[in-house]
Amino acid sequence: MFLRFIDDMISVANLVKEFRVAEGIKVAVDDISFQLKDGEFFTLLGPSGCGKTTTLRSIAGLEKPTSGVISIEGRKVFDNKVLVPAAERQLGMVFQSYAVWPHMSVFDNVAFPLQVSDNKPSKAEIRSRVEEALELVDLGGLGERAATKLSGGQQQRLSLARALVRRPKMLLLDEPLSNLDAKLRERMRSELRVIQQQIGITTLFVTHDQIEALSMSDRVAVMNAGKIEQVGSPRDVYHDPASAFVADFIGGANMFEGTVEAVEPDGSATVKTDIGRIHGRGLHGLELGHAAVASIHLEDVELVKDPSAATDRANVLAGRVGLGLFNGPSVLYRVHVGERVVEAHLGGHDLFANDEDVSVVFPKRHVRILSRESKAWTFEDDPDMQ
Amino acid sequence: MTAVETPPVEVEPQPKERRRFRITGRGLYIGGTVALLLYLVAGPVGILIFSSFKRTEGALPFEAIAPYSLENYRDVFLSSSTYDVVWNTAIYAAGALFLSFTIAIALAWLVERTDIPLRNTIYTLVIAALGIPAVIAGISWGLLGNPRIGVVNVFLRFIFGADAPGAEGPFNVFSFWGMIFVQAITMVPVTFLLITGAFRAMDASLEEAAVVSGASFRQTVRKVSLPVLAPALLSALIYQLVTVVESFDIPLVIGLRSGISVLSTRVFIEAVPIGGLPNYGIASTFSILMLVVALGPLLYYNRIIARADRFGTVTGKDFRQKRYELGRAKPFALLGVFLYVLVALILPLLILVWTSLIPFYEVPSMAALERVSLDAFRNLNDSAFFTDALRNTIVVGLAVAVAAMLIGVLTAWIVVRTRTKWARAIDVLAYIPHAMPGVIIGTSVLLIYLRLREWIPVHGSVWIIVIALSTQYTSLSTRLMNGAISQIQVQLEEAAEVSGANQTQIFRKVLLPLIMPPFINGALLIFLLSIRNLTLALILQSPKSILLSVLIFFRWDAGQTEDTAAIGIVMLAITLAMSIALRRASAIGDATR
Repeated sequence: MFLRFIDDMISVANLVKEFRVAEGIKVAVDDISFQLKDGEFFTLLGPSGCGKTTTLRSIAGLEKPTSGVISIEGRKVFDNKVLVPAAERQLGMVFQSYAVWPHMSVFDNVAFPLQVSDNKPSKAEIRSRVEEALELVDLGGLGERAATKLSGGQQQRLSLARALVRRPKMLLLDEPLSNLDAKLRERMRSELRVIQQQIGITTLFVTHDQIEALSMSDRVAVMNAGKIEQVGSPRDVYHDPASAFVADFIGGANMFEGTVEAVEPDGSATVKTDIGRIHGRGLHGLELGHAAVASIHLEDVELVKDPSAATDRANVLAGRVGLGLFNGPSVLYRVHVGERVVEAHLGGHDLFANDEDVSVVFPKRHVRILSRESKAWTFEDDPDMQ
Repeated sequence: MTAVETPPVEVEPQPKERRRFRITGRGLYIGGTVALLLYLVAGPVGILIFSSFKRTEGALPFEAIAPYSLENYRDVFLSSSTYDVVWNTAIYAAGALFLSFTIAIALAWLVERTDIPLRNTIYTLVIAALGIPAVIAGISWGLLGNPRIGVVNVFLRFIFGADAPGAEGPFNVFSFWGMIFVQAITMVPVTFLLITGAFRAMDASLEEAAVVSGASFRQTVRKVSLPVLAPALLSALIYQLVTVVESFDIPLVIGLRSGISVLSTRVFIEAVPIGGLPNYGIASTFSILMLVVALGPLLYYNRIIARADRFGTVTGKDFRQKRYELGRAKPFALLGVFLYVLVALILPLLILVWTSLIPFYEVPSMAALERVSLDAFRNLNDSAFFTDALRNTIVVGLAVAVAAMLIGVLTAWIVVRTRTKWARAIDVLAYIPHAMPGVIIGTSVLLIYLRLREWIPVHGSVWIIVIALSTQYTSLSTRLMNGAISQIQVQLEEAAEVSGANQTQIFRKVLLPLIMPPFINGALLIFLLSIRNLTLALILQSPKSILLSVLIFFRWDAGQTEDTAAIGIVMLAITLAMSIALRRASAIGDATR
């Protein structure tokens, strides 16, 4: 089993980081483990305060973990005896605030990592490598400009060029897109992914934005309250969430709590909830009589005027439209079902009036039945590791 | 398998050793800075407490013949003259604070919140008054406000036709009220600087919301403007309270001549008596009383500062604010400002120029005009005293500016950037000198280097003055650099670290260039404050280490008014130039931020 790890670019094992705060001790990162493979784009996704940035900063060497082991290319950079300083870890990092040095030109910013290195390259080589890096991020020819004269998007690219110029072992990205406006963010998403694949650099990406995580990553680790809840491909975490938290955090979902009434041999299950029985796919160790959650993504909910028109008759509930919000490509409907409100994302051409009686359909293949007890993710749960 | 198993990588010895070296280096830096601060700050406090328990009539506190005793405390606290001095100090402080704040608030409001014309000029003139050292302001007003021959009095008597031979008044600057008046005038520029930012940054929409809600002008001021400005005003008030309690120049130049003692002059008289032997024990006991008086408000000030940050009145956001239209009150407002500038800047300058140009002081007149000459300046040029004092002053100013700012940067970096539990304690330690009045720092530094003269032979040289001034201005430089380093995003340093830069490279290539503008600004300010300081220079002076401020005081004390004025002009040329450079430097600093 050990041999497998030698191929890992990065290995984090049992990482714990505690902070001393006024009220006592806050556990920011609570015993997490994961590995990155060579060339992989790996994302830590979670709400703010979940410990994802602390984890990244621990790998960078900017934070000293409380305990655990961090190895880069098989070399321990942190354990209870070793602490390799950030400057010697050979990493590239892009900060959320870009951290572009305002007193230097674009060229000087990018040249800095080469100029401070122990075996400083020749002037000519520095020049050619800086220009190469600037070309890569599409800033060719802007070297002499003052760094502060660049636009936000350009500063972002400058920061990326600086991180890549000394050909680091891996690239760390700390919410690099969150300061950009919506349009630029969308464009930078694809550009960043293209550059990453072009040079094949192992990348650890930290974000709270599930669209960024899903669209860019090879694998995603979903974090909550210092723990990893699930690791998997974007499709896995979206369609087969390991916990109620993951189901809710990724893509948003209608969630109905209840108790498990039946578990079938084919894996399907039934939950009794306060709006009635819901049938769906059972996931991860359900037990009869135990608390569970039925979850369905907003875009998987169907609304029909005539119950007989439903494509899947397993879950059909009577409801009344409360509100419809048209936003162009789609309409968000809030539908009252008993005491509850069901949200549904429908195509922009579907039309229901307020107070109109409708049938709410939860197609059985899209309903996930999850155990209520949220549990920490373990290696055994990662399909890639089995 | 479990996650505990990790690759069997051999522990490389190299990074381990480096780590140990690194931690030692960092520890050395923090430990060294703390040791330096303790030496500079805790040393003086310690020796004061020690000396206050020693009976020292004619002896030094650490000499064997001086016995331990509580007599100093009995003498100080059981004597009714002590309470007279404390009472004097309280009245003096209250009066000067009230007057200087009234003027400064009016000026700040006019400049920042109304449509008064010539705003920039007024701002520059108010700040330029910072370039008039208190000792010179005291001397100028001693000349202007002398009841018999003071120019202001002669002029007023002439206007009102009451000029008879031997007539006096209507003003007498050599009185309690005269002293308060001059002290208040000298405090206006700093008070103005302390509060003007809050006036400028206050969001006018807060007041507009009150007006729209139906509040009158007076209700708006009382219920919105003042409460919003309260933290800034209160913190400025307490800061200046410490200033006035420790103020020494004007009580010395004006107060002693009128027989009025405050705590600072009392300490001075005990430690550096005119004729007779110093009684360091009594001086130390008085110093401790004074320290207690100054420290209380300052601890409170610290708490206000912490709270003021949470108030967040200063948003730093750009917004255009509507200025209050003065309308028909405009000429009166301008007249008021002109009167202030006349009193604070123009009259003191003119009287110094006039006095320096005539051989013996007399009231300006056509007849006196014939006796005008540059003899006083020619004498200065020939006087070795003067050239030595000028050189000493420049050396001290430069040395203190560099030393205090370097200590400030090192301390501030620890306070702002390291998450050690000591950071807070170091911050407080660096802050104590602000609560230590100049006479106390002067007395204790004197005592320390008398004791250590065999090992650190600075007693009697300019370097003991440099040490004392650096101690005093460490609190200011730390405060300035705290602000400057907090403004620098920590990510800028972290980005350099991840890029492979070591601590020295980060400091040299990233941090230092970024804090250069406020660093230079702070150095200019401390240079200016050092050369206008009379307290420390006078207590620690020796024939070899006379500074300009001391020379001015000696000439004044000896009644050589024309020499006093001529040296004063030279000093003003330097200090006014510095205060204008400061204004430009801070404008540049603002622009780059």
